[in-house]
Amino acid sequence: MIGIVVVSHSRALAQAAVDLAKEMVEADSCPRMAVAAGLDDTTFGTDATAVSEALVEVDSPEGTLVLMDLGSAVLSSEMALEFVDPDLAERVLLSAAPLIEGLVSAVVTASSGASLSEVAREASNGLAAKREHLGIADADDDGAATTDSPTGKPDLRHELTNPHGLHARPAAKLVSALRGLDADVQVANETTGSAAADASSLSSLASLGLRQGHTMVVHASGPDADTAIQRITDLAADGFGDAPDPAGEALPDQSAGPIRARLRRLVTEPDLSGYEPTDGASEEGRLNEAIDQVAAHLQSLKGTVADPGIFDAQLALLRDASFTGAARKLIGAGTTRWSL
Amino acid sequence: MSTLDAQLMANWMADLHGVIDVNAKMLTDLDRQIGDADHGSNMARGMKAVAALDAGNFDSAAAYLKKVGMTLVSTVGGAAGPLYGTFLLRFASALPADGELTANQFAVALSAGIDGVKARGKAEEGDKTLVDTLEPALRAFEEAASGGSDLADSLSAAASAAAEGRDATIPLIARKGRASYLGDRSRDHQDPGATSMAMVIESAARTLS
Repeated sequence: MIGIVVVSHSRALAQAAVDLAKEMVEADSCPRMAVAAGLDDTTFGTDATAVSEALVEVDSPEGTLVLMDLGSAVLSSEMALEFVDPDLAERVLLSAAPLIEGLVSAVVTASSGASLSEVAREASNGLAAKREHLGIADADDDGAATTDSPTGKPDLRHELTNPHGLHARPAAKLVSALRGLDADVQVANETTGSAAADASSLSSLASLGLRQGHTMVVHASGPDADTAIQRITDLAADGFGDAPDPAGEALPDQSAGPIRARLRRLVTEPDLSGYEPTDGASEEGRLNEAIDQVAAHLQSLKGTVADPGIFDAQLALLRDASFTGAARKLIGAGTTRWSL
Repeated sequence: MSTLDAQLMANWMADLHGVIDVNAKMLTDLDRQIGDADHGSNMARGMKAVAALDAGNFDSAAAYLKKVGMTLVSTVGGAAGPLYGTFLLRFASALPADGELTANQFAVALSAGIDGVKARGKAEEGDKTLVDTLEPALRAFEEAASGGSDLADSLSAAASAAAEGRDATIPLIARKGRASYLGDRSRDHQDPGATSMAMVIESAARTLS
């Protein structure tokens, strides 16, 4: 049975929520639960080290679902995943579900022996009964529940079978397959209830945390929408190009969070003698030229290895608008900045 | 020149502790207007725990600052705990083991800390957060250092830019943190996190060179 961790600013609130949820199930079928809430019995606050201790306390091979209230509860839980053993962190899901409704749904579902992804899905749907009672059709009609997710039935639902989920290489294949199409493609992680991410951005796709057993949902619009869905369907049928047993081969921990957080700034001391900053258009031309040079280099490396997928991932990152956009914006604002 | 060791960083934290203590009520008042009225008391509680650390027990600047980061994580309570904790942990990890603290090293550590804060809070410049203090401070620091300024002058440029960045949060509408629940009503208030982070940079300018 999975474990459940409740993270809240208030110890009393978290303990009461746990007691409320426990009433729903028999004592001997109740999942293991731990509370990480408040700095002490009366001081509001969250503590990432307390969350990591709670994760260790309830850990099991079946995994752990974390339900949180707001703000620092989320930040502290994410930080706690960096404090615990990476193998343990792989078994933890942070739920976007509302604390009370999500916890009750999670405890009831977990007590039946359901898997972590099933429990996470039920927790995410924890508002369904209340919505139905109040006559609010779904999240998209509820003004209070703002979401970037597209409305309506998804064009594609797919449960990931890749052992490492949608890590960098398969995500890069997806980005590449859509390049050149006139379509707006949005991907979301239905299992965690994530907001939708732009399928043309590798870093956005990585932020979805799509792991094995998670269900990805795809919405496509625009003239080439059908082609886009067909290409993703073909890729999905092919396991996004992952070898059947890529154990030890895939990049570690690629699905656990934004790739961005795992990049370290490379510090070099470029020779800037003779360099004069010029107008924005020329500076942007230089940026494009630099990107093209690195791209050509990465392309030339692809022929040197058996599986060039990782270079495709780097190429996709190189042209990822969420990175280059920031550079273009700075250039547009007249900034010329380089690493010291 | 400043020798990069635990004592140097302890001087920074001792100065910051004093500043946070004196300004705790002001920080909490700022937070009362657009947040949950606890930023000053939270930071004061965290810095009090930091002040109790003995720099003599740490064999490097990085080891001391990592302990400071973990102490803030466990004692601050609000979002400032994981944010300041991440900032100092990443900052510390980017420092060399020993030697003199140079402008280049400080720039690398500061930018690593900022990358950590932005990844943790998913905030960008303009969201009315402590990032609005940090990014201008880093830009000013890098500009000064690449123009040949030493650590002291670069820090001084960073401190001025941090104060300007803090003041520039006043007209912004909050897009992250508790203040974002207020939407338009968060306008015309100075951001508490940007305010305390400006104290961090100003304190660095007073103590690290």
